[in-house]
Amino acid sequence: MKIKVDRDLCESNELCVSSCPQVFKMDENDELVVLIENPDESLRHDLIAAVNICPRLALSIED
Amino acid sequence: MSAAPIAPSEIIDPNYYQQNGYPYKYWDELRKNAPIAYCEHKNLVPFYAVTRYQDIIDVSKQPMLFENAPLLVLQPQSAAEGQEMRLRTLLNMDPPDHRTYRKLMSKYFTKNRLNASQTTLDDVANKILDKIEDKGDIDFVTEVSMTLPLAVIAELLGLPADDRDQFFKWTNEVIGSLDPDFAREDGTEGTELAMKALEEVFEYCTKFVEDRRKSPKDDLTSVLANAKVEGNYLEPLELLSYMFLLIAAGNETTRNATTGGMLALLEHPEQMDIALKNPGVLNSAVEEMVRWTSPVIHFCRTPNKDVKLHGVDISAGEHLVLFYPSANRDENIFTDPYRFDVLRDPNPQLGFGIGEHLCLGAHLARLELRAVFRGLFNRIEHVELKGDPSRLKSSLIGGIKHLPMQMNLAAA
Repeated sequence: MKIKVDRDLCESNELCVSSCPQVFKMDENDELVVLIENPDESLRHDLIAAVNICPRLALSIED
Repeated sequence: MSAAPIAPSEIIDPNYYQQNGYPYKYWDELRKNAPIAYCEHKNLVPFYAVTRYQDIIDVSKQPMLFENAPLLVLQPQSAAEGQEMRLRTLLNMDPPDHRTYRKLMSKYFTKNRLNASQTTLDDVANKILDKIEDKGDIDFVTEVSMTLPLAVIAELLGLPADDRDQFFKWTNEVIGSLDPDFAREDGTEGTELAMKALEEVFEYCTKFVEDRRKSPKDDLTSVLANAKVEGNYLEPLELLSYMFLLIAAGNETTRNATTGGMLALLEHPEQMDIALKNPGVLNSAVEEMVRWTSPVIHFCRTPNKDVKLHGVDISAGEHLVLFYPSANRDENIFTDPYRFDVLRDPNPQLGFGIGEHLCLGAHLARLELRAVFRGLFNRIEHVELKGDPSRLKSSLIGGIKHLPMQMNLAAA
């Protein structure tokens, strides 16, 4: 599966980082970094949590 | 075409809100039996009330289909035409313009950018509390709630501290124009007052913009004054509207969340007790205050194609009204939604909206609320309600104009 970030929407709220720190991280410029673009199935649960918690609805999962 | 059930007009009547507060029992019924309900009320365009949490999310997820521009808020039809022409803010833009304009400011409002201001906010909050420390009888609104948000946004914009009282007056006049309390001595009130006040704000801000183009300073007015869209400075309408939005949006709503939060604590003494004894609950208490008060009552969305929601046909150009406080009492999302719980976790409340138009100032609002209540929780020795809240006559903002209290505070 692929994790997609809509960069027009992301405003570094960082809630995704709390939900799935293996995949999301904030860099020193306050920009979101996707650490694993094609995460393993085992991370699906945490990724769905991240998608749902993002207040800008900036994340989506592509299978 | 399936007929929509009919919604009671109380849900959009400013008189109802003033006399009774939020129409929760009507929203409860609508969520249960008529999630998309047709409503007609004198002087307003007809609309479909959207009351469920999940439906508000689904609509908010599709800003290209459900637009802001055609109609932002429900207000008397004569006002709607006049006002829509005079103000062009993020609130009544859609993508792509919305994204272009929002990006001019968004990096100044991120969590990380704002967290650096936490100590300053605490200082300002404590100075406000110092002023009323020994007063005893106070009006919580004018002496606590309104002061911090105004001071902060004035500071961010670089507008002089001395002009704060005037800003307070103007935003009341534009946003609360239906309330006779804000009528001017010369009798100007209602729509006429709103438009006059807006004109005066624009005149005031024009001078600042000119100054900040000549000599930019480290403030948001300088950012806006010197920002370029497609190589050009912002047009006066968009620039002045943007400044007005920052002044008004950050001021009215946070003020009301602060007042409403204090009122909730007073009405639920066991929650007040938990908060006073456990400093660690501050963040969840503040989040619960936003859920509980939901100062923004509604915004409109207009589909640009025919759509069907819960079996109800809605034609392109018809209006939806999203009721955020109703979403914040949705029993499918919140356990015991009518319980004010400072420990509520998780709390996916929609008081700041969601998606494309998520409140730009959400983090700032949280930091301001935390600063005020951190100060209060540290210092309250005695607090007691001394009278009923006096409510704003509005179906847009759930406002409390005055809250008489007795409060004794310890020194900081």
